Amino acid sequence: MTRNLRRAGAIAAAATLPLGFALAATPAMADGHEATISVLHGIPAGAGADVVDVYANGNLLIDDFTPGTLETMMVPEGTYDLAVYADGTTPDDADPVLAADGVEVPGGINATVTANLDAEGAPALNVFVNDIEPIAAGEARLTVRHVAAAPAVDVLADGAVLFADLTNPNQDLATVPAGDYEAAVNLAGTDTTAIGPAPVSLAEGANTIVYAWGSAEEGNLALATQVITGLGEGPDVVPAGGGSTTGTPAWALALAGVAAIGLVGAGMRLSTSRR
Amino acid sequence: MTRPRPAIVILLISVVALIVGIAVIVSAGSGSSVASVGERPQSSPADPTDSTLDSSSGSSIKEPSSNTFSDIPRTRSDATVLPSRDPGATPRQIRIPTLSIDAPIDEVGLISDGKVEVPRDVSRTGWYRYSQVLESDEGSTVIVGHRDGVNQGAGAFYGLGELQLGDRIVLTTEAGDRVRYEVVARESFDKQIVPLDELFSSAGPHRLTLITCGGPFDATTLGYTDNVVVTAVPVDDVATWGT
Repeated sequence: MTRNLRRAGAIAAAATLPLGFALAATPAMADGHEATISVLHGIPAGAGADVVDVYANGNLLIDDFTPGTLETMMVPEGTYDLAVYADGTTPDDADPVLAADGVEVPGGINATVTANLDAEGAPALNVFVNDIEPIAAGEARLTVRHVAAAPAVDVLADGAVLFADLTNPNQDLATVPAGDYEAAVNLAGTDTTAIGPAPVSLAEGANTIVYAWGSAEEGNLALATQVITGLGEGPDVVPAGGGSTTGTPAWALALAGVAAIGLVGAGMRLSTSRR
Repeated sequence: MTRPRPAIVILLISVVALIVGIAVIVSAGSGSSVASVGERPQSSPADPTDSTLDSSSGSSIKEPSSNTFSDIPRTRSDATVLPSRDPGATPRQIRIPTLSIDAPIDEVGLISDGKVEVPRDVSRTGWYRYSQVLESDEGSTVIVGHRDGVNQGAGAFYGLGELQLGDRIVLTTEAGDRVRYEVVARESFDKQIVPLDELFSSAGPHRLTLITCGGPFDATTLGYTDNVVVTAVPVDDVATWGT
């Protein structure tokens, strides 16, 4: 089921959409009653959220959160009301800058909440489920998320379009050979580069999540990344010996081989002569 | 007295040769088996009974406890720093003074069937190019080397199974720096069960993983049955390794 999701963009859900909607049927999520949740502060400086506090169910979750910062934590599974407050204010004395109520977080899930600008430049919260399916040896997973106040974009790896026409607040993902790439973001269907090119190293067995964030109008479009490691399946075998030092296996093997041929030959002759 | 029939003579010689051959192979194999000298700190895969217990307790969403989240484990990072690997930190030469090992390091990848490429010249070793460079923040730097070759005698990693806890491994990087690691574990795994996904993992504390072959030689597959694995960590990390 999840394999079908690999190249299906638009897994991004509105903040109020229960996360369980996307992953409840995945059996691998059955273990553990905790979820791995990351929060990205993707609202650029100068947009009224330079230092914020994030609250969950009325309790302080992240203190003094600044633009371009990612915080990852384990939280108990459950339903959360999320709210972002300007630093210095609290749920007791102010209204939140951003809020999303009733976000369902099933145990075992890995998801990222982004505080970012929508396509028109207004603050928004988005929830993305992170793909933590196993990755074959030598491969890397690249996820790209559009959380910038910008129109549709194309995502390029080493000059070639990898994902076309990605819009805020959506994502696309692919499995690519692990290694170093030049990543760039162009305005969709054009050669106009909006971000980059910038070198990005995609590690084997990791889901490297690249966020295009900021504001085209303000001229501060940029890339941010989150890396989820430890998803690699590893190679199958390390063949690192030919056998020339096990005592004297070469002649022993040869002798055994000659003996086997001899046995067969002798047996054949005996059976022939008995006829 | 009649002359023995040629077939009987060939049979007798063959039986003797077979017994001698097998005895040599078996004794050589058993002499090279390796015992573990250290506990690997990585956690083993989850006990399957655990998940059974979990799933049996129901999947209904419960209200989280009304804690303040102040004590939950968390990491904060600067997301604007894009992941990169320093090509200058690529390992190029490995020296293990206690074993008189001093071998160049090539870059190796995967060949067909999920096999890790190992340099044909058994005097050379290979850095698995998809693994970490030296002194990374996390994950495994994997270097493979032959124990021996069919016609080449002992390989660069012939003595790897003799390494002891605390032995030093000195690597020279592409940039010419010398980086020192210290052995914290040595193990031998049957190739059927060697945890390569864990040994090659991009997650976990940074470590150096050296892999060669060991155990008995299997005359049918023309390979050794085991992998000998040495884990080492940067000298400065030894005190905190496994904590």
